[in-house]
Amino acid sequence: MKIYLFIILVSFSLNSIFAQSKWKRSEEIVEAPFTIFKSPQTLNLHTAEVLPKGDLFYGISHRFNGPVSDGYSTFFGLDNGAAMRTELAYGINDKMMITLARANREANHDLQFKYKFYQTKSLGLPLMFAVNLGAAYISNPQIERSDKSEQFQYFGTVIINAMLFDKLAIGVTPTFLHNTIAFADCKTYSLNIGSYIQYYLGDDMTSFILEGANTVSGWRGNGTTPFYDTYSFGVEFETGGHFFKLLLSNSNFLNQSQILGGSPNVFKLDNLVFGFQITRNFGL
Amino acid sequence: MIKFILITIFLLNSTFADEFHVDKDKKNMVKFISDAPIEDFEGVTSNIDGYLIGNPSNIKEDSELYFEVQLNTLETGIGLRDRHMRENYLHTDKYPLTHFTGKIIEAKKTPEGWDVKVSGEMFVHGVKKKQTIKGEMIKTSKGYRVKSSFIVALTDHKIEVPSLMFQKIDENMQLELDFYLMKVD
Repeated sequence: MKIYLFIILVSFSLNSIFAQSKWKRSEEIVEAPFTIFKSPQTLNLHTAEVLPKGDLFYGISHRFNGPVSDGYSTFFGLDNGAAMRTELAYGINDKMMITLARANREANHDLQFKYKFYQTKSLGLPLMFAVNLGAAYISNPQIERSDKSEQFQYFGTVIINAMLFDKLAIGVTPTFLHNTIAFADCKTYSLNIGSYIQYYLGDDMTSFILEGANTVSGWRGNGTTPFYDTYSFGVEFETGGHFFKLLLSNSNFLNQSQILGGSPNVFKLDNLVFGFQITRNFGL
Repeated sequence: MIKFILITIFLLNSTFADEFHVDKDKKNMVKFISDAPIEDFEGVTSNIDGYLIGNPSNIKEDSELYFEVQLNTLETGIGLRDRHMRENYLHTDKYPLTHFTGKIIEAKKTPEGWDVKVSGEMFVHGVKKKQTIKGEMIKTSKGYRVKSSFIVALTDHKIEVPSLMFQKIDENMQLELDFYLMKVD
């Protein structure tokens, strides 16, 4: 009898053994890559973020020439024409992107290359570092130069980004810009420290941006037209494919080599102009 | 009497359920479809893994199943939208896996295989929810091809429906599965 019971028990236990799966996860868990800023740009400056690999990015930006303070008579500055920039960018891989842009002011063309070289979460907060290198060609300068090489500008930016409290993204972008003003009598340069904060609202696709571009050394304008630091603030909407940015700024310059050289208008309420940027990502 | 019990047990043993694993060499597909303002999302991945234990002559009997999908492998065709889906909807930094565990509760033999209904727990976004899902199991040389399409309500899994300019995405996310199982020894 006992032996039968034993066999029955063994059979049942065999059954329960066989019911257990031999399955094991065949791949390691794929971690999410972390981001700080969602967009590769704030309002005028670069973030350390690059486009995802294979993404093609098209953007169009306007800065209206008339100040918002003109009121309804010029429809808050919109009647006075606009400075415009179109840009096309591409994510070479998840660390590098390339941008080609044209601003209509002096027909400034620029070619930029951004490289995200380091990111870490190990220091207690998410940090990301990148460099952006660019060259601009002014094909329609205010004053024609006999030496065409003087119509080129070069710039390099180091970008440091961090995320605070999961919602507040901050960044500093020191830039050296060579040949700030192509028509100046002497060689000009600008050493500009950009800084920005962007506050993301919960899971909403809305965020607010404050941004400054401060010249610490170099071109400050000439006696008749001094140049001032540029401040901008605005809102960003993200949809997953688009960014919409609406802003006010004391500068209506658009290309990097222009915005980083300062603005002829001092930052005050009467000088603020309205601007926007619309971008779209495409998958290639 | 004892002999009878023993024979019955051996018979039961001989009808042991088979075990099937997801065949990673085949073209498996998992699709997440969501209607959002301005952007519709259609996230696709081949990264499904898991197992099914079932008796091929009566698939319902003693059945057990577990399937998981790695959400960080979802691709929508635009890198920016992938990020957006991961960060704004699925929060894959915290919940990189979604899985379903359960058993077959209804099975109907068809010329190709089985029409089944499974019941179990769906784990999405850190929240478990009881769910019943219909599927089709088509016999193949190595096992089965499984097809299923069902709805996951985002609010059931505490996925806050993000808004953009007062427009919200559809609360229902549709999942489409089409993958292969192979028998393992």
